[in-house]
Amino acid sequence: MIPELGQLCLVMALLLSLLQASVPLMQRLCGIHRISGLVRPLATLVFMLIATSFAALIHAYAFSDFSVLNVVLNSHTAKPLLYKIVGAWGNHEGSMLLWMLVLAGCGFLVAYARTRDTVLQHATLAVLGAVSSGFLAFILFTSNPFLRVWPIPANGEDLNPLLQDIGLALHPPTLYVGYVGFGIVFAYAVAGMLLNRIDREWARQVQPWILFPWAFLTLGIGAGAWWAYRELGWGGWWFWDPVENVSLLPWLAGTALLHSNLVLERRGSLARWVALLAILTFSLSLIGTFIVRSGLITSVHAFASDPTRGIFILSYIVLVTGIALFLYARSDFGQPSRVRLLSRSGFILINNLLLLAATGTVLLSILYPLILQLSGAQGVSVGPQYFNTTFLPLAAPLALLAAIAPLLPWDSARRSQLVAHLKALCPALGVAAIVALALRDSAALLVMVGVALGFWLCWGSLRYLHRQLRARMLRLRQLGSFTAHMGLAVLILGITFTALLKQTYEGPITHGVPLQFGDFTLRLEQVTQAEEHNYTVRRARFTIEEHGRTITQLSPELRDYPVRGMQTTEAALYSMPWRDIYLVLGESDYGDGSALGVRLYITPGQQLIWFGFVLAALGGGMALGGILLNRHTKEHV
Amino acid sequence: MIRMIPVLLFSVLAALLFVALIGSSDGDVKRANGPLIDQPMKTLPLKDAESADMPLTPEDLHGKVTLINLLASWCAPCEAEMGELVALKDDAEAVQFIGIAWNDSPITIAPWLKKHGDPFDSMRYDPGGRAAIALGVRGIPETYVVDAKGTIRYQLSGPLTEDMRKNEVLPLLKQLQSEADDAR
Repeated sequence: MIPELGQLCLVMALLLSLLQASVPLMQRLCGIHRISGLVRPLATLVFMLIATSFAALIHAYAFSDFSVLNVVLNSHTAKPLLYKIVGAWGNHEGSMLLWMLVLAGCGFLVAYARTRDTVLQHATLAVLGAVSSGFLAFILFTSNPFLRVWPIPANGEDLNPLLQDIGLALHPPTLYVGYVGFGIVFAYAVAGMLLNRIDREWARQVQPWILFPWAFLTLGIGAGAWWAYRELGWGGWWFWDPVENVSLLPWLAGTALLHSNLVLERRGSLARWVALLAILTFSLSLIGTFIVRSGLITSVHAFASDPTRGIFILSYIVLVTGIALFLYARSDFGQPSRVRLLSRSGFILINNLLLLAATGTVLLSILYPLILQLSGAQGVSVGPQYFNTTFLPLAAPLALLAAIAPLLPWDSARRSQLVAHLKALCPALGVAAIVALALRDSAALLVMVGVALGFWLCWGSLRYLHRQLRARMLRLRQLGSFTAHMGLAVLILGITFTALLKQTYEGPITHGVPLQFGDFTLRLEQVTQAEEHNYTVRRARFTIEEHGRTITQLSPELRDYPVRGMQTTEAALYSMPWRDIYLVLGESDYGDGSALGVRLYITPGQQLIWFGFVLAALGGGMALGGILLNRHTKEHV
Repeated sequence: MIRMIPVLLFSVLAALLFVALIGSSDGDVKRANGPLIDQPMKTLPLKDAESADMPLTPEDLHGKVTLINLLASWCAPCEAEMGELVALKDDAEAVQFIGIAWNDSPITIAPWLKKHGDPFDSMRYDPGGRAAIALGVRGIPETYVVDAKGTIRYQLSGPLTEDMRKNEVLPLLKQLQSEADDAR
């Protein structure tokens, strides 16, 4: 009964979304003006229906209802309850429903956001209705999570312990909130173009809707990197994998959007550019998700069972993006006002172009293997070398400008002002030189560049903070932008240190023979072999000493899952404020079995990366809070 | 004209994705059934009718072609396929048939087998479902054919039908049996 209820809710949500989308049309055709208020209760109803439907799916998972095909394929009675529930969105159908839930939730928030411009609000909700109905149709017709199965199987199929990780449980929803949130900005853009009012007021209204998904996307990417670092056992946190790159695309475009919308809000210029970026950001979220989900790149089997799914979602993307872009081409954004290059607006525009170029290089890295594959060539994957030579040179000037831009006036700056700021930032270069000299590493020059960039941005942001404080102009919103920029600075430092100063040892370690590596001594204490529930495990215990003093014991594992025919490594990790010790058990024995293969990484600055992600996301959240608070107080004065 | 550039670029991208999608989807629709085929049958933790340990070991399988069937008396499709299994045993008497009762007790299984026919040379029990988990069993009935070297050659999820018995399983059993006889 309950799964049928879930499905019924979806059907009703689809019908109501269609109605929600057609309200402005009916208004135009029939001339009834009173019904415009209808979109608000409709958006509420759609949200409630989808929430009920999602609850029905959670119920089926929590109580292991194996009459539902989706539960059979993705759950098992032997799983702990938490992972049963989390498994509800760990698969294609469930994750699509979660996607829809977030979209409907955002629609609900838009419907009840206080605004002076109800016309724009209602039009936005109508566009959202159209976006939702396409997505609901996709779920109902090709990815229905409530399909029943007969005969009812005795147990579920999936007992994959790899996916039983809390990181993986939290990472997709955070990313989805980011992706879907940009859908709201998209709806605002389409509505704004239809009503011909993409202006300062529009920008003011949209800004929180850009900050909200941006902060979540930042957090989601960070969480994904953190999961990969702890679970994959490769000692790194970013691998330029297509799946990772796909989440980077909307983040880069969204960052550009975030800043150019500020220019629109303050100066009233760049309206056309902002509209294009709003369309682009959401489309990149959609296309990215499609490419990964359809298995065009990572695996040939993901979608192969049902090619209609791929065709359906691609047609949806073409429709959504195509209509929006067509509208963009037809829209009149008024006389473009010029932006002076030497100003905060100008610097933001340059950074926008850099961000977009970076988006282009990443998109190309995803599409290029696809194009080659079509032309008959096989097995091409784009490696880190490509990104080091294309992405990083674009990212470096970005940080340079980001340090200065907040210090300049919005409209135009004098050359002397710029020179003064540049001079003031010179100490950052000194710090970088000192750090590089202190390290005396072979990579010293590159380290110096990275450290210089990091401190440059740090210093610039601090100067901005100082100036705002002195002028008593520091609001939560400004503090948020400072924090986000500091986050980027910390991230740059972290990336520099982990990428360039990581020490790696790969080789044997023998019982009773301590291994000296860097400042550390590694002793192999004990190796045990054990038979667990559905895997066999080899566990080794090591003692780590620093300068003769024992600091910790580490027990990495090597697990063998015979049912799945796969081996997994459970890396052992010891984090210190300044560096991480990361130990992985090798797959093979050396010689007679007295020696064990290990991989040992010492990664300095690893904590900086996580800290940077959190700071950046926090900055976005603070700016969002600042805007909302400000609005609230304004309305009450 | 510049305004149309995004539309044009997007059209090219969409066309590319469509071609890639259609190109990648043909000829690749493969049933994901039987992930254990061509893998060695592992030791299964099982019990006998008196609840004493009686694991299924490689020695049990060595030199004999074996059919392993997971069943339960409460399982309707198992009841439906029992006639087919009995007919199969009649045609391939040299093949060893091992039944594994999943989450079921000897007290209910014995009369059930008497009623629906008993093709098994040996009956074992998996009360906690550990063997089923080790095999990655999704539901019962589930049937495996293991050759004389202990390698899984056939895996079927769901009930055996007459058509499958005649056209798939019996020919395979005969072939494996003659391979085993030749090796001896």
